[in-house]
Amino acid sequence: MTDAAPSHAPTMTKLPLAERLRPWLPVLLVPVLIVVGYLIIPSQSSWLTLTVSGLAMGMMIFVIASGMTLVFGLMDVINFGHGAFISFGAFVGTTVLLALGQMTGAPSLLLNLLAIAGAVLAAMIVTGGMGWAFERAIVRPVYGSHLKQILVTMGGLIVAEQLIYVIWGGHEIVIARPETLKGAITFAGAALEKYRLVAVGVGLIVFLALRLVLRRTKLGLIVRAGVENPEMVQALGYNITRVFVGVFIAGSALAGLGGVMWALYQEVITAHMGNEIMILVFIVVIIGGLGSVEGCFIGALTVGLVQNYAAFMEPKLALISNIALMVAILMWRPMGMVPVVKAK
Amino acid sequence: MSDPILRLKGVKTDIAQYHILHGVDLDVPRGAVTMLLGRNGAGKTTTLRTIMGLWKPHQGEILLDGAHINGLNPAQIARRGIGFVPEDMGIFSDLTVEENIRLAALSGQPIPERLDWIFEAFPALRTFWKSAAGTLSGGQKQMLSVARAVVEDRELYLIDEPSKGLAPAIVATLAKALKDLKNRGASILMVEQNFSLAKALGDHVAVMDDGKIIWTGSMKELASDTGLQERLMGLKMETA
Repeated sequence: MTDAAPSHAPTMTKLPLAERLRPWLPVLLVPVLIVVGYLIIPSQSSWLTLTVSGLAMGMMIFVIASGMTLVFGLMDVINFGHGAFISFGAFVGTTVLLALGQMTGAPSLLLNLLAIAGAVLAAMIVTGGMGWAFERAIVRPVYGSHLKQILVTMGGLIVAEQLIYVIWGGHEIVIARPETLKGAITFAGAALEKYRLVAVGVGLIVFLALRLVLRRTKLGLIVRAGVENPEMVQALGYNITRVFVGVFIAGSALAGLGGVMWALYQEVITAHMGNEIMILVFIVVIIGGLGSVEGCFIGALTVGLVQNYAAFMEPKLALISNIALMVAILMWRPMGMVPVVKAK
Repeated sequence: MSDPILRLKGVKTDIAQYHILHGVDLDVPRGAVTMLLGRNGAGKTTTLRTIMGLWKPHQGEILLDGAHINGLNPAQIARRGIGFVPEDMGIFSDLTVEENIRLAALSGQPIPERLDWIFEAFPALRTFWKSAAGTLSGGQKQMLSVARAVVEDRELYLIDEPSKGLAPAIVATLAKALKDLKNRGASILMVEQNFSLAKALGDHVAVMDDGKIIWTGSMKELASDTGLQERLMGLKMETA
């Protein structure tokens, strides 16, 4: 054995353009889809309305799905109970908004936004707390077994839905949007609903905040590393169980926020609304790449746009558009658009 | 021998229905390199993982600096001062080289002096500092894995087969860095199949077979006795 290390200084080579573009292809999917929409939709104003509507829907699904994809990626937990947090968030948020009727009914944007902020805060606290209890009582005993997770979280979902019936009754609740968020603004001849523009803004803020935390903080570093190899994160000195619980609580709270947004979008809430959205959420989480927040964001926007364009072009097509989209994307990228590396 | 930095007393570990460690007794001296040698399946990796808390022993005691660490989780054990380089390197492929190193610095940011030493030992890590660790070659990943363990001073380093599957040139680079670490007074427990590397680095040796320590002694003693090597490890040795 020689002591002196031989010189083998590494050199960097420039990859071909196609190789360099490859990771960015999913990012290009959303603008490409918007351009395709522009080309196939005969009226420019309809295209603009549908695009904003699709982006708003996508953003709301992203807010709901982002927590779920992190929970799956980091904890390898398939949580069918995620829908319960959406419903609970919607009911808690709606209760607060109804209680703050004077603020929501006032023609003041500030008061309206304050009322929504109060509703969102209450919903996120309640669903975050529910997430903590759910993780401890229901999910923790079944770590490592997907089949048991599916069964037990489905059970948790049913219990949570029944709790909603007990607390709020079996009837659906109608919730009007705050005064200044009703109606639409006209831009380039297109009617753009004010609330949808707000939803796009909130979704963007959540995405940027999540990205900031994941990419620029030590906590984010631990979460990203934990998604790939939780055992090694522990061996480096970080208590991954605490991170698991934190992510589960944050994911549940985001579902609560999404629930409030969805409630104001639909203007009516039911106990099983979360369960109904979960089909879209699963599609988004799968096509985005399990565990990837960026993939989830692209997937959600894609789903929102495709659904809106398809419904306009051929209403019956909307029924299968998302499943068809999932099939097409998985044929293109079987691990999803932004696959997450997992340690063997 | 002065008080060992690490002591294992009658450690038994099962994995699923298999009994892997059958009562390991081992003292790891302070400020020296102890080589854990033995045939494949002897229980070397299981011993390191058991010390690290990644597998729980069902019997026996593990003492780090005189304090019990069995029963603690891996994070607590790491924070007691153990740096770990696993057999599979444990690199986070989606993170950059910089992020891998930063994550290992429990105090926050890597110490500049330590970083300079890492770059001197492994120039490739400076070149690929901002690249995703998944794009590194096998040798560079191993360098990163070692660099991550040594980014801060630790009481003890557990290193599992750093030369596995690497070209001789890369092994030489790793050997130089590990020798440098040893010269800084580090305590190291290292599993290694490459006897040349083990000879070059080791001060003490513990040989395992069938989940037990079957021989301990100095590397000088083992290296000079080919008959002993053949008896303990089935090595038909190269000349010294």
